[in-house]
Parts: sequence; C-alpha cells; structure tokens
Amino acid sequence: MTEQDIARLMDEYRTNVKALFENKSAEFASNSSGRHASILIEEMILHAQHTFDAFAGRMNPEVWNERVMTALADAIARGVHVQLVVENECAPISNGTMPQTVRPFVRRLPQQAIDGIKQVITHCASGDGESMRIEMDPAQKSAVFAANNPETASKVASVVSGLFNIGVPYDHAA
Amino acid sequence: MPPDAVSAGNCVQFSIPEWILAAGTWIKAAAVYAVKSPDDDRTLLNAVFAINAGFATIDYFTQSIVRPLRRKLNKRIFEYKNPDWPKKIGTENSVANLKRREAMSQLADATMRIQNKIPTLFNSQARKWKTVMAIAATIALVLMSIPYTGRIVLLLALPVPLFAWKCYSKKQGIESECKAIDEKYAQLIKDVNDSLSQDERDETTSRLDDLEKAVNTLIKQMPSNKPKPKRRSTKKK
Repeated sequence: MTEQDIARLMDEYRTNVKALFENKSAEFASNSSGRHASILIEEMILHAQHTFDAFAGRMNPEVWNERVMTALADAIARGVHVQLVVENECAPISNGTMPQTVRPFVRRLPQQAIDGIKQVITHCASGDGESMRIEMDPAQKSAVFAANNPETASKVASVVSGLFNIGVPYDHAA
Repeated sequence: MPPDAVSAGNCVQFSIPEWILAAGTWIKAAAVYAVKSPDDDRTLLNAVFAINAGFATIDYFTQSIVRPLRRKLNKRIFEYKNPDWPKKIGTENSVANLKRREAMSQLADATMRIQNKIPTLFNSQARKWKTVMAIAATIALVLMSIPYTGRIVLLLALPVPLFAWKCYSKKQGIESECKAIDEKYAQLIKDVNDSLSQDERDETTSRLDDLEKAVNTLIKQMPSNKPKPKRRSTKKK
C-alpha cells in the first residue's frame, strides 16, 4: 500500500469520524493505529465546546502530532477547559511541538500515583463528557471510541480530573 | 468487477438470446405446416418439427428463469463480498467488523450453493418434460395415427404449460430459500453487532471502573499532595 493509499484511507476515516459526531452516534467505533488515534483525538478536540480531558502515557508524537497540538491551542483559545495528564515524559513538550499556551494544562503523575494505578492503567480521553476514547492496547494504540456516550465519557472525565488533581504541573515537575 | 463477470468465472459469456432461438424454431415449424399440401403425408416430418419447437419452448422457459435468477444471486453474492457498511459505519478492522465480514462471507457461500444448484435443478426439469413431450408425440403418431400435424402440436402443447408451472414453483422455492437465508443472516449480523457492542461496553466499563477505584484510592492517600485546581463547570448556569 502506497503512502497515497494510506492518506486516502485516513481521509475517508476522518470523514466517517466526522459523520459519527454529526449524527451524535452512540455506536462504538474503533481505531487500530496511531494515525487513526490521532484523527480521533483531533476530532474530539475540534468538537469539544466546554471540556477536553485526556490521560496519555507520554503523549506519543505519532498520535499527539502537530495538527492535534494546533487543535488543542485553538480549543484553549476558544475557552475549552483542557486537562492533560501524562505518566512520565511529555513528548510534545520535549520535542518542542506543544504550543506554549497548552503547556500549563499538562500535568505529570508523581511516581507514587503511577505505582498506585500501574496495574489498571488505561489511557483515555473525553470531550464535553460526551465523546470518549479508551485505549484497549497501548502498544498498538488500538482503542474504542464513541462520539456520544455520556455515561462512559463522564466517567472518563471524572477519572482524568482525579488524576489531574493529584498530578503536578509538568513545567514544574522536572 | 461487474457482478455478471464474477458469475461467469471471471470470463464474460456472450450468447444468442433464448427467445430468438425459440422463435426461429417456432417459425420453422409453422412454415413447414403452412406449405404442406393437403395430399402430402408429412405427418412424421411435421411431428419432428413440432417436437423441435416444443423443445425450444422448454429451453426458452428454462433459460428465462435460470438466467435472471443467477444474475440476481450473483448480484447478492457480489454485495455480500463487497459490503458498503464499513464506509457507513466509519470503523476499520474492529472485532465487530471482522465478525460482520465473517457472517457476510458465510452468507455469500450459502447463496453460491443455491446458485450452483439452479442449473441442475431446472435442466433436470427440462429433460424430464422433453421426455414427456417425446413420449406424447410418439403415442400420438404410433397409436392414434393422427394425420394432422395440428393435433400433434396440440398434444405437444400440453407438457409445456405443465413444465412452465413446475418451473415457476421451483423458482418460488429457490426465492423463498434465498429469503430465508437473508433473514437468518440479517439476524445473525444484528446479533453480532449487539453482542460485540455489549462486550466492548462491558470491557471498557470494567477497565474504567478499575481505574476509577484506583484513582479514588490515590486521592484518599494523597489528599493534600497538590492543590486542586478549580474546575470549570461544563453546565451553563
């Protein structure tokens, strides 16, 4: 499969994800690669009106790429309350792709917290307590996603909030 | 690839329409009957042409049923093998979709099995009724010594409607068999969707519950570890 084919498939995937948002679909969709994950997260951010919460390992740059970073910065600019929690390193800050305006919204978990949840770590994200993405296999970046599943999404938001509250601001944590 | 090309084993088949062949034979039989002089004893010859016309009629009926049926089934098989639901659903290789694919593949196989038995089913009917027709003609010629071809044609005409009726009932049988398969697999796919969706929900819920419990325990253990930032409400006041 050529890069062009992949790009075409990704465009198609994005169109479909947009359609799920437009239809407020409760159907569980999936993503099985970092590229798909990136599209899902970007669309979640773009569709967020009030809040966006995410718990990610190190914010893998394949997923949290420049497009996602731009979407995050735009979301913050339009008043969306963003909470990002990382386990250790935050790759977009390390590689300089994260805009300055986004950095204050990143928190890093203390080692004690990581030890406390390491058996049950599941990376997840929620937009407006409606859309949600839960990573089932962090290595493959495969996850389940729903554009409109308030029950699960609000739980994700609450978990990320909890983690954010016990986290330390990333810039001060080093 | 168009469905017809798939059906023909990846090679497109061209043939003269059956109705042209049948019409040709009927015209030939009618012409022979028409030019016969009253004194000629051409009963046997005419009988042969009449049988020929009868056989052509049976072939015409057979093909006019078999071909559209096969085309219809080919279209279904093509659709089952190239479903358009992944585009509609907006997902790629999720477990649910793989299960859906499997179910659709089984549906295509079942339809192909029906499709494969169609020619045998209708051709055996055709053979059976051609034999009936030949026996009727022989009886008419040998035992009754009917001098007029018209009577033979009349005799031969009897098996044709019987054959047509038989074919029609077989066709109905095939169609109801297809309908049953459609309903069975529609239900299967619905079940697959429902159950997988439920499995995914259960798994995500259980993971989240575990994480939530762990986070709550952490919050209790580290209550004043860091100041809690004010969280903006998502609800409009």
